[in-house]
Amino acid sequence: MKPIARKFGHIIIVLIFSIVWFSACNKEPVMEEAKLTYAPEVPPPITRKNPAKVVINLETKEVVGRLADGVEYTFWTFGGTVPGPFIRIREGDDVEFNLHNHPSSKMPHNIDLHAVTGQGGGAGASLTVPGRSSKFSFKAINAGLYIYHCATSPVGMHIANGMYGLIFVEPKEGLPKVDKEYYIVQSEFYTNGKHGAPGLQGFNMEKALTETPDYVVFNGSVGSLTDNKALKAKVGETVRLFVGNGGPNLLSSFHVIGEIFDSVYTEGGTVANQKNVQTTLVPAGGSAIVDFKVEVPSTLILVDHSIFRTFNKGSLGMLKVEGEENKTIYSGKQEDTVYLPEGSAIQRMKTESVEAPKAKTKAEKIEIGERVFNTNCSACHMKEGQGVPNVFPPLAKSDYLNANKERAIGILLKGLTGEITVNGQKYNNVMPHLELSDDDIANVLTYVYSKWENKGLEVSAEEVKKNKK
Amino acid sequence: MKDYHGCTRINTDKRFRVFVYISLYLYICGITFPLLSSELVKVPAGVYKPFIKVDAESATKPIPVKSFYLDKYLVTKKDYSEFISKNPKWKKENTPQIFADEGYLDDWKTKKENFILDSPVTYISWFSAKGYCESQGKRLPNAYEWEYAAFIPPIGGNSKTVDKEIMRWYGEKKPDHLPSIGRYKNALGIYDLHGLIWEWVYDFNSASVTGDSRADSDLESSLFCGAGALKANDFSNYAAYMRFGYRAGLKGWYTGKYLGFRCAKDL
Repeated sequence: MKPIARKFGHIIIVLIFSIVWFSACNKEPVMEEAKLTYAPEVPPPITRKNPAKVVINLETKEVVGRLADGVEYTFWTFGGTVPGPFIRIREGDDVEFNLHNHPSSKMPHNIDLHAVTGQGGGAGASLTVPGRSSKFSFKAINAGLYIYHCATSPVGMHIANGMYGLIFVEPKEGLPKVDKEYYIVQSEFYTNGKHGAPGLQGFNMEKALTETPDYVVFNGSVGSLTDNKALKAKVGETVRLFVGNGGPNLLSSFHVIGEIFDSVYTEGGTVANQKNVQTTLVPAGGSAIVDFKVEVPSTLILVDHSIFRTFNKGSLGMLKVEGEENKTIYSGKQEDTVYLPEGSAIQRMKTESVEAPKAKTKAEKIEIGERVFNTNCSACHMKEGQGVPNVFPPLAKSDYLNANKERAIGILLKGLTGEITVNGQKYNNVMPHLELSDDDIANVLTYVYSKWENKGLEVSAEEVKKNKK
Repeated sequence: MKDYHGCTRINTDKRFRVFVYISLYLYICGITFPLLSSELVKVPAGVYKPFIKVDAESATKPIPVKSFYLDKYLVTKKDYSEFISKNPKWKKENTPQIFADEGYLDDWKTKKENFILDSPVTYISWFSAKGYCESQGKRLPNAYEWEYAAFIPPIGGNSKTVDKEIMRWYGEKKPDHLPSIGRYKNALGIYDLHGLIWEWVYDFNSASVTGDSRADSDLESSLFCGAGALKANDFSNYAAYMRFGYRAGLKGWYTGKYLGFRCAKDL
């Protein structure tokens, strides 16, 4: 090669290098607006390998919405919903946060993102009166799943009215890939009316202070994740739930009926530090990430296992799993049989042998008989002797009872099993033998005969004894 | 409650005209005379117990409030439009944005049938509110005066009654257009201190509440003492926190749908 050409070649190589070098160095960081999603949707995982400048726009809005069927509430919200939108950014991102308070708002609002390191998690820089916007910036230095909430005084009231959501700062290395990701936030509402009281319900400060909510819900209302709004997955898929707890007061014992969490990132940290978990605690103002594979078709029930909240206050959601049955994992009901141990049809129930006072008059018999009835009989035959249709026959106005006093005594002495007809209705069940004294049998029968339009017969201990053979 | 002039509101217009004549006459004679077009209520001297620490010295010591006059009613759209016609510099197009932001009188664009004349004027800046009051020889009440008057419950009520009204307002379904004044009356006969709008006060930004109310606890500046002195069941104070939060977020040129005012006057 001629020297001049060599020189020329060098120049070209240097030029190419410098272009590559320069463009690599001078690369503007990616700038993007964060895509926000509403519960139960989660934005897709971030695939970027580098930090970016991310712009987040979030609006605070006060809206009237459904808390339960027939029950409305004036929610204070981020983004018009409870919970507010799910924000997903990546560890190391530079975030420009814009909080806009809608002009129709009455209240000033701000935001405290637990993902922010700095005064008040951003609250100090974001107090915004209606019709204004505030801007502040932060660097997402800690990965994890964080709650954000309004922190304008009175803080409790702002949170109690619905101002919270989740922000996920994706770790640099990302989380293991799953098939489905969902967003769930539990929270409570304190209403002036009792649970179910219809109409627009106001916030009740007294209940909030005593921490006795009328509603405990997932995603802002009773039934937000049930029936046609249930979450969905297919057999064999892996599911990840990003679970938050807005509070303001209660801790959640988050559990999915019919599943076991394969791994849990407890408290929303970035290490899947526990495997095979039944129930994970989600503190107020905290979170958890749970991953599990759904193996069989079923409707999984999402609950707060502080269980009265679930069945009486609303914290119940569903995840419908569709696909092929797998009978080796779960068979379904294989048999339905009567359980009668010891081969005997009649069970003997031990009652405490307490020396009972002897009744002298019919009135006394009825009085004692009532106590005997309430402790031994009313659980099945019910307090007013009405029984339970198709299961336990009625004693009230009962043709079977009134037709034959001795048969009644016999049943109390020996129990009863098999089909009988009472007031035209067939019953086929087992009444256990109760170890009642002769006196108590006489008393309770006298009581039953004296009540509920029965014949008013009197039974004596002697008659009972006579039937004991 | 005896009112300042012993006049009723119905006479306002006639009285107003007389005042105009007299003032014109006096103006010509080189003497200015305040125009008092709306009724004032005398608020007796008393003590305001702040639940927010305003500065290091005052802590939460009770603050004596001198007797003063406060408008019986909120300033209405009608009142304000009269003011503007006499003071065209406060027309929207004439008002520079340093004195009122772009939201100034925003709802005056609405259809005439929705323009409720006796509903409170809102979308008003602090500067414009102050200008209005001064044009009438009055001033904006200061925060203590306002809070002191606002804590006075309706006749037969107590602090719980006040709280209930505040909470009702917080939780209500918001109307499309602000309703007429004269809904909630306290024992002094002053209307709508709660339940309709927020009100400008002269020193809205003096209570040093930062944007993050909780941080104030270690700044030793304000809400900490409030919180410390606050009994857990003192709901009315709790609800009132919102006002301080709101005021802290304001600047003099801000305007808002739920932000109006009334005037005060020294004895």
